[in-house]
Amino acid sequence: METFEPLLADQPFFRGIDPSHLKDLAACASREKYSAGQFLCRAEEEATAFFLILQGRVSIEIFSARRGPVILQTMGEGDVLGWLGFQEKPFHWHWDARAVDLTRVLTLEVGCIKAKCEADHDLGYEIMKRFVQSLAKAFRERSLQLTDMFQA
Amino acid sequence: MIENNPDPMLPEIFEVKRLQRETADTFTLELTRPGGAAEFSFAPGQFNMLYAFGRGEAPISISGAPARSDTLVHTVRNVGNVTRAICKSRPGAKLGVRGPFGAPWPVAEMAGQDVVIVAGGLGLAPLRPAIYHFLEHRADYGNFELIYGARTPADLLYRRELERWRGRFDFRVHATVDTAGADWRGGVGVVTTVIPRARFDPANTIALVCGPQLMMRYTVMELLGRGLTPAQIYVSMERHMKCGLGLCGHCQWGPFFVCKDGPVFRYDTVKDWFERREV
Amino acid sequence: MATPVPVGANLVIEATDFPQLLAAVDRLGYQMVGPTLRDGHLIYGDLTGVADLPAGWTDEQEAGAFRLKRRDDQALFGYGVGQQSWKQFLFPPHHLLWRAARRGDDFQMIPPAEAVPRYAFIGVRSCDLHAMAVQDRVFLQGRHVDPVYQVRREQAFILAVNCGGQGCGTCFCVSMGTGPRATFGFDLALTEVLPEGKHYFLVEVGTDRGAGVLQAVPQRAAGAAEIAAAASVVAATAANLGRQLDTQGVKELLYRSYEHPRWDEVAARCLNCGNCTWVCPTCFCHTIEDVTDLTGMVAERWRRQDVCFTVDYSYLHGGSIRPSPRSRYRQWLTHKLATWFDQFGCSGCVGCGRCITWCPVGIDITEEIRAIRETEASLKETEHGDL
Repeated sequence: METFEPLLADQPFFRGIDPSHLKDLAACASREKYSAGQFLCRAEEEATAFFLILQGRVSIEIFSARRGPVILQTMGEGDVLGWLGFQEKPFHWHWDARAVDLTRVLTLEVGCIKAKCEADHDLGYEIMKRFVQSLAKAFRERSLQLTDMFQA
Repeated sequence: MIENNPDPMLPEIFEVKRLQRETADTFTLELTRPGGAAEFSFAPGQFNMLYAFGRGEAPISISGAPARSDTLVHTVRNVGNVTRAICKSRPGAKLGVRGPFGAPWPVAEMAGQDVVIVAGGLGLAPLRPAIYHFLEHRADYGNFELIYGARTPADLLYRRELERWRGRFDFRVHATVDTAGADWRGGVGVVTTVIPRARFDPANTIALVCGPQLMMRYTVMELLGRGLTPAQIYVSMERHMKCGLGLCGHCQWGPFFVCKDGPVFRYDTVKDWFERREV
Repeated sequence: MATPVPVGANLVIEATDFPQLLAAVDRLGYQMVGPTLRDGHLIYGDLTGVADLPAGWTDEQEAGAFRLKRRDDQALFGYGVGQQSWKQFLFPPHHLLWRAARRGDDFQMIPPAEAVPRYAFIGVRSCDLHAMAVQDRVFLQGRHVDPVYQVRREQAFILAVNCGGQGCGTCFCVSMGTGPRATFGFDLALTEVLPEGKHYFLVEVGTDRGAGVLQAVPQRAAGAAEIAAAASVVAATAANLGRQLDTQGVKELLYRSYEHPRWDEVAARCLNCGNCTWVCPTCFCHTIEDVTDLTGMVAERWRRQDVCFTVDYSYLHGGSIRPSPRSRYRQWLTHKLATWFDQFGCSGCVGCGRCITWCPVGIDITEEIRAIRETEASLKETEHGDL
């Protein structure tokens, strides 16, 4: 059986994490494959998965009744997609994520990760550091997008 | 300078041969000397002052292949009186040309290096002659990446050429836009999001950057984050220009005259001025 | 005919013989321009002879103030500089560059066939000689030479006058190393000396052309006492200047001070009228205006002196690079005393004081530098002090 530990250790999101945590994480991981056009997740669904993109391209879309799907962002190899907020109420996706090309991902089950983090706060701290980092990056990118810098 | 022209303020008359629409407000013009005899030589990154009869002059970068010097190619965005008149020129119409002016991209000194080009919007126009140069002398350079960002897919310049370039095995082209509909197959996200994925050896790379000031600022930050030093990054600046000769004063940017010291600057030489406001 | 006097010689011309000096210049076919009174103003205008000079007048200059006053003698050059400078002749403020004629889709360029005036500048002060040298660097010594300036400059005959201790209220040439004594760039340089009952000019010969002019003018070799008297006139002027500017490290000071609060303070007073740039003898900014006649068949290109205080000056599609008055004043002053050094290897300010005198609200470049310099230290203290 494939162990996900080396694959996880390879991901930019987990770069530098103590190898002792990888076993816990691997227990929550599975591989998935999406062919072009398939949805990884859809708006309003409960966000039970955290995706690490291994290969391919994913577009983040909001569906507008008038304009159809509006692409907000495309993601690729090394990017992460999902919510590790761990709040009490279930978290729901705000947008759709669709594979543009054949896309392979490593999927972490959020409930499983949450349980591991609750049990081992050192792991929780490591995960939070990385998640906040990825949020900050997303926030920066979105701010720049909002400035509409190509406007004269 | 145009050969044997003693008066640098006197335009030479060129004829519009072809006019092609690029986007809703941007056109590419091909100009030749009437009679078509002498060549017009320039270096990638330089610009000309284009004159529309009676309307005035605008600085427009040269977008054609340096090797094809019988035709002068300019991509012009209709943003004012002069550029509107230029964009409305029909084949056979005459335009005045003064130039070429300005400091070029250092394409020759870049031999042996990986090349990263980051362009935003109309910023691809002054970079296209450099791209032609690299492709023509492909063996002289290492890995070659173009990252091109625009507002929407409809705002991309040279769309067919981009698609042709994408098909090459020796040139990676990333096109990204700020927003797009589902029919867009390229990337969505600001240019800076692509830089982490570009392939280059930071120790042996030169990056050429041209686009809106904000785009250049954040692009430079990302490139520095990828391990380039300020001396490995070149930027092309834009300022109000009237003479192109460094005499009229309008294009001043701190100690620089963008028209003659630039428009292409090595980033380490202008770093201190880049972040200063209203300079 | 007398043997020519050598360059560097000192001669004396009596005031009574001075008209012959101007007549000699005039005979060479120059268009003589120099200080004259018109409508109650001291300007540089056409001179036909000595009678056009403002004999017996002087001026009082202060920040935002210029007043003509009577002297109690008949000195010909007993005043300072007025609002105009010689740049209006070398760098015409409004100049036709070319015309073009349209025929159908085609048009043809018609280069100008103008007669270029050959000027003789009468009464050029040392600060203005330095200003010409500054503009030489801009228009003649860069990558591109400006032909309009070049031809006028090369032809000009220059009769300099050392400043004689009057009307120096806003001057600071000593601080800038540009005066009050003319040391270069003249054909002839005069010092007007008016001791008890006497009135003569000490003349220094700067060029062979200057020496040639003197051949037709009664003159004699200057004695030691006359040379000393002239030197003391200049020394008295140097001691009498109304302003000082500490140029020590001024470029670096300004480069450090882009965000100094003083810019806000001065911007609150500055009207952005651009008077300082119009009167400045080194300001060279200009714009290009393309126009057509009413039929649209003939186009013209004009060059017009321009002012960095307008929003349009730095306009780029979408907006101005310097939208705030603060940034525009900062651009002007920083250009004069900082970026100019990097651009042209010299100061852009020659200490003539015109920008101070002719500022309608009396903004004083020397005071602004002093304020920035003096408060720089205290700003640092605030930054690093106890909170």
